[in-house]
Parts: sequence; C-alpha cells; structure tokens
Amino acid sequence: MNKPLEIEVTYTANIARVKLRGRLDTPGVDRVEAKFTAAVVPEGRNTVVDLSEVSFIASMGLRMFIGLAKALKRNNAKLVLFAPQSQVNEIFNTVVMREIMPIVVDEAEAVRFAAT
Amino acid sequence: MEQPEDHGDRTTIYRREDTLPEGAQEEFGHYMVVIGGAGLGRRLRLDSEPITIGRDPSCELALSSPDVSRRHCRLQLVAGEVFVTDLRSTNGTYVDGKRIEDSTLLPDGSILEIGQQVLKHERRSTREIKEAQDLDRDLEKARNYVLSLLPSPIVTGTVQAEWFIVPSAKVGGDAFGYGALDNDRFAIYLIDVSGHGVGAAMLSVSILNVLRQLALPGTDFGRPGDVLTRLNQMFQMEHHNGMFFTIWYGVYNRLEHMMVYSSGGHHPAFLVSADRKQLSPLATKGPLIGVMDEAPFPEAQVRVQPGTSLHIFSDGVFEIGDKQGRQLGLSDFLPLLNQPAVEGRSEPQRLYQTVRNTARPGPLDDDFSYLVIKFA
Repeated sequence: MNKPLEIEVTYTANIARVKLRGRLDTPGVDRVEAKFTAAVVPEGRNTVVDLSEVSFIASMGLRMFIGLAKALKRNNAKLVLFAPQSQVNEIFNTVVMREIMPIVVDEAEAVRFAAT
Repeated sequence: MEQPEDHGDRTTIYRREDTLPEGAQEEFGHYMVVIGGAGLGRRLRLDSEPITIGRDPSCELALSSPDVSRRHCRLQLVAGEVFVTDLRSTNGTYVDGKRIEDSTLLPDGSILEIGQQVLKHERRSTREIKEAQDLDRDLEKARNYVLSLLPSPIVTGTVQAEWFIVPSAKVGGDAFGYGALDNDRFAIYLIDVSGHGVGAAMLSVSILNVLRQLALPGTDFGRPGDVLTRLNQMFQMEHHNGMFFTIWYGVYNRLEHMMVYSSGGHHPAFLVSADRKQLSPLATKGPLIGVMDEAPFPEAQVRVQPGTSLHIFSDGVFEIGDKQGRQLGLSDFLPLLNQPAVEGRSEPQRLYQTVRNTARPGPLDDDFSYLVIKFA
C-alpha cells in the first residue's frame, strides 16, 4: 500500500517552499490541494515546489499545479517546480508543461526563477 | 409587504423524506459488491446461510474465470460480522491485499480478491442500497449514452478500425472517433479529459460532439493543427470547471498513403509495421488543450506502408500499478505491441487482457481506451 501524499510548507522571505512526498494521483491531490492553495495563493507568495520525492503524477496533479500557477499569476506571483524524478519529468515533457510554468533542476535555480 | 401578482402558475417542489418515522428502525444488511471483473456493479446480500464462491455451478456465487477454483472460498455471517474462509483454493483468497490462511474477518469496506474478481464488503441500510441502485441506474444510462457516441468498428475496406474501452469508474473522460472527411481523407482522434467520472465524461461528450459534427466554424478538419488550435480556443479551462484535455488527431490520405497529425499534450500514437517488429512514435510538441490562451500546435506527417497499424490509446493503458507495487509507464507497455496476435481476440482486447493480468487486482487506476486503425 502506498503512503498518502504528504505536504510540508516553509517560508523564507517572500518565498514559500513546498515539499511534496508520495504520489500526485487523485487521492493525493484531494488530500493536499486545499492546504497547498491556502498556504500560498491568498498572500500571492512566489512558490517553489520540491518534487524530488514525488514518484508519480496523474492528470489531476497537473491540474492542481496549473490551477495554482494561474491563481498565483493573478496575484503577480510565480510557481516554479524543481527536481522532478525521471518518470514525472517524462510526463511533463509529454504534456509540454514547461510552456506553462518553469520546471528547473534544483532549488537554487527555482528560487532565482521565482525572484525574477 | 407587497405580494407578487398571481398569474395562476405554480411550481411546487416536494422534498423526498430522507428520515424514517420516529421510532422506526432502519434495517441493515451485509452486501458484497463486484468492483472488478465480470458482473461489475452486481450486489449480493449475505444472510444467515453461508455463501460459497467458486467455479462450480452449484456455488451460490459461480464465477467462470479459470483462476477461480471449483469451490474457492466461503462467506459466513457470525454474530453480525462477515468471515471469509479459503477452501484450499489454488490461487488463494485475498483480503485487503493479503492472502488469508484461516477464517478471516471481512470488515466493512474491505476488499476481497478471488483471481481477477474483486468484491467489496459494504454494510448498508436498505434505504442506502436503494439510493445506490438508483444512482447506479443513472450512471448506467450516462455510460450507455457515451458509448453510443463512439463509432462502430470497421471490418472491411482499405481502412479498418477496432477498439476497446473500459472506464475506471462507471463513466469516464476518454472518447475517440474516426470517419471519412471526403473520398480521400480519413480523420482519427482520441481525447482524454483530466480526471475521470461524470464531470470528465460530460466534457468529453461536448468535445466528441463538436468533432463528430465537424462543428468548428472556419476550420479545415483535414488540418490537425487548425483543429487543435480551434479546440484550444473553444475549451479554455476557466470556462469548463478547470478541466483540460489531451488529444491526438490525425488525417490519413488514402491516395497518397500519407498521415498528417498533431498532438495536444498527448503521448505518441504508434505505427506498428505489418511484421510487428517496428514501432514508429507519432507525436508533436503541442501543449494540453485549454490551458494556454494562445498556443502553437505543429503538424507532422508520415508515409503509411500497407499492412501497417496505427495504435492510439489513453494514458490509462500504461500508467498502471503492477502486482509488485511498481508504477509502470509507457516504456513498460510498448514491448507488448511486438507480441503476436491472439486468435479470437481483437488487438485492443489482447492488449487489455495483458495489461489486466499485469495490473494489481481491482479496477484500473484510469480509463482504458484503445483504438487500432489498420491500413490495407
């Protein structure tokens, strides 16, 4: 049995750092989406998301990131994803996700992207 | 307060009673619901008499599957609880993924697996059961409507088509179609709406009807890039409850034996050579449909050799968890396309059965939709 998706949010200056662990499938998204949204959208924080421990992403996971990116953009903030595993990165490539939001290699680059 | 003018028309809304009369006791029962395998949705009530499950026709629940033993297991109510006992079956009886040895409690909500057959134990009141049955009937109608929109297989001619679809829920977000645009050109497409269930199905039906009726004003349906650009404008996610979709769209020219195609966020379709040794991926770099206001949808084209088959499928075909708990992907699935045909089964059915045998028990995680076009 897979462990439920976990979310951890920390704040530094004007950037929210979100760490996800587990599978971003429909039950996983149901579990974390409200908390994720509440943590970053109302204050319009630039947000970097650590995907290094996300083993799988389904269409509902893509939908969550796209919805968050659009909501943050309305508040003049950015969502940047970083360190996707190869299987997740393959899905990002298929759906041309990099045309929609930045996806970078590591946290330092993500923070740079979010700040510019 | 001034009363509105009475024109004589009245609408009265009656609220259905959802509470029992005071003092009345709801009757609860134990039910086994088929959630995977043959007889999906079938509901069996457990009473004081034990129920034996097996391949033997004398069993109270007889299953014809070869991986079920003649007398496989027995369910029995004891002091208001359900217990399952394995009857020395060959392939075992599993409760919540664990093979049982002795008589084992089957808690409310637990999953019983017998070969490919998956049943869920539910303790429900008769009222809840009736509501569930009403909902099931409505979903069945919705499912039949979606299926009625899919094209018939084509078994003769220079372009033939066969398909197989299994939604992961009662209705799903996948749909596909094909048909002649004129004497020379034949259009083929498959769409996969984000998520699954009724919401996704409603959007997939909208898109499917647009494509079936060629109802995109000013669009050349022989140009996949134009079609995807127009769909992207028409189905922006902000106006469709936050849903988007992927699509693969191709047009085959029978005279020139050429296929022009474009994809929007969809993994490649594959051309499979007549000897099944060569797989050619067909994909372009178009984004998900409905996400970006303006997006390019490039086209590509390929020569189609006689005897070749085009395989178009949804990601639910290969994004599956296997029996060992591993997450499989496209690269795990593709070698199956090289394997020989199975007599008596269509190619999509052969692939479904192979995927089904690989996947962990229970419904697949996502809709399984598979379309094969054969070019004579």
